[in-house]
Amino acid sequence: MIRLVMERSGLTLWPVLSFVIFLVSCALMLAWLYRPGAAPFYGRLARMALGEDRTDAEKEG
Amino acid sequence: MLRIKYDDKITRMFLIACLVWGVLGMSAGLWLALELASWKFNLGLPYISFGRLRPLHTNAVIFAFGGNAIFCGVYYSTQRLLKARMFSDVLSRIHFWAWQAIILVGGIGFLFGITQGKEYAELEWSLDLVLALVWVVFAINFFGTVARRREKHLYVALWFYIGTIITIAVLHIVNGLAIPVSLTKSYPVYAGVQDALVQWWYGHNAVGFFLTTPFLGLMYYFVPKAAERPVYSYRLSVMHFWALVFLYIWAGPHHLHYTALPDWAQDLGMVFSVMLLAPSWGGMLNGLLTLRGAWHKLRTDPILKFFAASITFYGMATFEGPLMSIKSVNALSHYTEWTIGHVHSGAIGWVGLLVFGMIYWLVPRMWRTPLHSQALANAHFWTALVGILFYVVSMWIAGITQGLMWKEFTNEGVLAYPNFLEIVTKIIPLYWLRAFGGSLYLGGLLVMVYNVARTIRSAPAFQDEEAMVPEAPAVPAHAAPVAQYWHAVLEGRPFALAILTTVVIAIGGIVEMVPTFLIESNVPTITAVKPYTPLELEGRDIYVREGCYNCHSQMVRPFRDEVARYGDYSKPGEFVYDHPFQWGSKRTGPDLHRIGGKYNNLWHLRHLDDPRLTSPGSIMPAYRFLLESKLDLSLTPNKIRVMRQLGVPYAKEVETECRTQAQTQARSIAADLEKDGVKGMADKEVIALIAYLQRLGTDIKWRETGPAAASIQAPAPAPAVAATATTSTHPSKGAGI
Repeated sequence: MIRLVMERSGLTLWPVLSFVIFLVSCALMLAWLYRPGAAPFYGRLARMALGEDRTDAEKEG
Repeated sequence: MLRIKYDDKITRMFLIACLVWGVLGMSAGLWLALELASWKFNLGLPYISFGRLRPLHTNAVIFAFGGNAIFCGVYYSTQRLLKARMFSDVLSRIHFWAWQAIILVGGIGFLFGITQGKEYAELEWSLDLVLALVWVVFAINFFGTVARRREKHLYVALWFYIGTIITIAVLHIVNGLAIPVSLTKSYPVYAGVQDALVQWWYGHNAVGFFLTTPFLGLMYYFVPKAAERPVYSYRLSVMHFWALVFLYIWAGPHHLHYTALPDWAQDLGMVFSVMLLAPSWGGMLNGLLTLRGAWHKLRTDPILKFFAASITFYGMATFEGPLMSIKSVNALSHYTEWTIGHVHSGAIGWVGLLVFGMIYWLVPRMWRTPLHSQALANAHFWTALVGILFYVVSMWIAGITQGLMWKEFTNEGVLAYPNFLEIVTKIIPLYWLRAFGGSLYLGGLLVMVYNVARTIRSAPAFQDEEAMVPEAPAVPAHAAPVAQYWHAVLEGRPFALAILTTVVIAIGGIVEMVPTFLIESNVPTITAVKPYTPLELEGRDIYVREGCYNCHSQMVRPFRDEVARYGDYSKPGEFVYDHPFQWGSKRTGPDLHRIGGKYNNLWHLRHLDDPRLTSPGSIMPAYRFLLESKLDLSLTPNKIRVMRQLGVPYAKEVETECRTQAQTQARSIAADLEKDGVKGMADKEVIALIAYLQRLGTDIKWRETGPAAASIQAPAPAPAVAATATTSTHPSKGAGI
C-alpha cells in the first residue's frame, strides 16, 4: 500500500511536502516569537543561565 | 528556601576522563598523520597500521574526548538549570564507568581488527548493545532529574541535550542493526545502497547530534556564564533549535553524491544541507553576539578567547559544509583531503576549543582554587589556534590539489596524471605540515593538562557546591508552567518536548529511507551479480578487519576522469550482497571497485607484502603478516548462515560445503602463484584477500567496452554458490560522462 502510494505519487512529492511544512512552521513560529509585548518574557529567559543559583561571591556577601 | 548539594564529583570525573582520552585520541591522530607522511611510522606492526589505528583515533576523539566533555558539561549545567541534584548518583557512576569501559574495550578491539567496518560506527554488536544500555541509563538519569526539577521552565540548553539524547539513541539503534556471527563478528542487516544511506544518515548526524547539538547546549550555558551576559536573543535560540534538529537529519546523502545512491536522495541531501546554513549561522551569531559588551575581556581572559574562536570555527565549518554539499563542488572535494580539513575545523576548532574554554571555566569552580596559570592558558590558546590553521590550510591545499590533478586531462584527451602515485607524492609535504599543526594542537593540550594538574594539586579540601533553591516540591512532569503561551507551555513540558523532537527528527529519515528500501527501481537488480564465494567472503572480512576502506573507496563515480582511470562507473545493483558496504569516504589510495582482474595474483601478493615493490613511492603500510598468518575458516559456516538469513541467495549446501569450496579456490590461486615461484600460500590469509580483490567489480562485463580492455586479464572462475537466479532489470542511472 505504502509502496503503491509512493510509486504513483512520485518521490519528489514527499520532500516538497516536508519542505513546505517546515517553511510554514518556521513562519508561524517567527510570527509568534515576535508577537507584541513578548520581549520582556524572552528577556527573562535569556538570563536563566546567569541566575540559576547564587554564586560563591553572593553567598559570602 | 532549601539548601541542596549538587553532585559535582561526577562532573570532575568526566572532566578528568575527557582530558585523559583527549591526550590519547589526539596522540593517535598525530601518529596517523605521521604514518601518512611516511609509511615507516606503521612500524610493520599490524596493530597500529593506518586502517586499524584510524578508528581508534576517531572513536577516541569523538566518543571519548567529546563524549566525556558533553557529560561533564551536561551534568554540571543540568543540575543548576533545574535546581536539583542528579536523579541518581548510582546511575551517574554506572554511566561514567561503563562509558570508559566501552571505550577501552572497543579501542583495544580496533587494534586487533574487531570492527563492523562502518565509519564512526565501528564497534561490534556486543559493545553496541552495552552502549545502548548505557545511553538508556544516561537518559533515565537526565529525565529523572528533569522530572524532579525545581525550575519550571526548561532553558534552551536543555532542549539541545534532549534532542541529543533522543536522536543519538535512534541513530545508534537503526544503524547498528546486525546479525551476530560470533561475539566479535556480525553483518549489518542492510546491504549496498541501503547500507550506505543508513550509514551516512547515521554518520552525518553523529556529527550533527553528537558534535553539534550537545555542544550548542553547552555554548548556550557556558558562554553567557563566562561573558556574564545574557544570551543575545532567546527567540533566535528557539528558531535555532527547531530548524537545526529538523534540517540536520536530511543532510546525510551529501556524503554520497554521484555514487550509486538514487539521484533524488542525493538532491535532497544537497538542498537540505544548503538550507542548514541558516540555523547554523543563526546559532553562531547568537553565540558571538552574546559576547557583545565583553569583547574587551578577550585581551586578558583565555576562556572567552577559546569561546570566541570556537564559535567562529563553528561559523566557518557550517559555511564550508553546505558549500561542499553542492554537487558541483562535491565533485571536486569528495574523497580528497579537503574533507579531512573540513572535519577537523569542526572537530578541533569548534568542539575542541569550546571544550577547552569550558574546562578552564569549570576547573577553578570544581576544585575551589584559582587556575594555576593564566599565562599557560593563553599560551595554550595561541598554540592550538596556530595548530588548527596549519592543519586546516594544509589539508585545503592538499585536497584541492588532489581533486584537480585527478581530473586533469591533456590536450590529447588522456589523463594528465594517470599514475595515482604521482598525485600522492605531490602532497606528502602537506602531510608533514598537517603533522606539524597536529603536534602544536596536541602540545597545547598537554600544556592544559599540566595547568589543570597543578591547579588540582593546590586545591584545598572542599565539599560539593551547595545552592539555595525554592522549597516548593519538585515540579511533576505533567504540570503546566505559569507562562501562558503555547511554545512556553511546551518548554515547561519536557516529555511533550521530547516527543515533538522525536517526530521532527524522524521526518527526514523516514522520507529518505522508506522509498530507498521499498521501491525496487532505486536499486535495479543485475542478474550477473552473484554472492561472494566463501573464500571471497573471508577475504572481504579481512579487508574490513584491516580497515582498507579508510584509504580506498569502492565507488567509481560517473565522471570522465574516473571511468578513464578505474573503469566503468559503479551501478547500484552491484552491491546488493555487500554487508556492510565498503564505498569508503577517502582516496588516500586509488579506488578499488574495478581492481578485479586488473593485475595478476602475483602482483597482489607482492603489493601486499611490500607496496613499494610494485608501486614505488607508495605510502601504504606493508601487510607482510597476511602472508604468514593462517586463514581461519572456523566461522565460515556461521557467516554463510547469517548471510542466508540476510537474504543472500546461497544454496543451503554451501553452509556445509563452504570450507571445502574455500580451500579448493585457495589451492587454485596458490597453484597460480606457484607457477611464479611462490610456494606455501594455500592456507594463508593473503590468498583470501587476493580472491576478494580479484572478484571486485567483475560481475558485470564492463571490460568488453571499457577503456582499459586491452590490459585486462580475466579472473579465475569462482565456484558456483548462488541458489537462485535473480530477475534482470538493467540499471538506468545516467552515466554523465
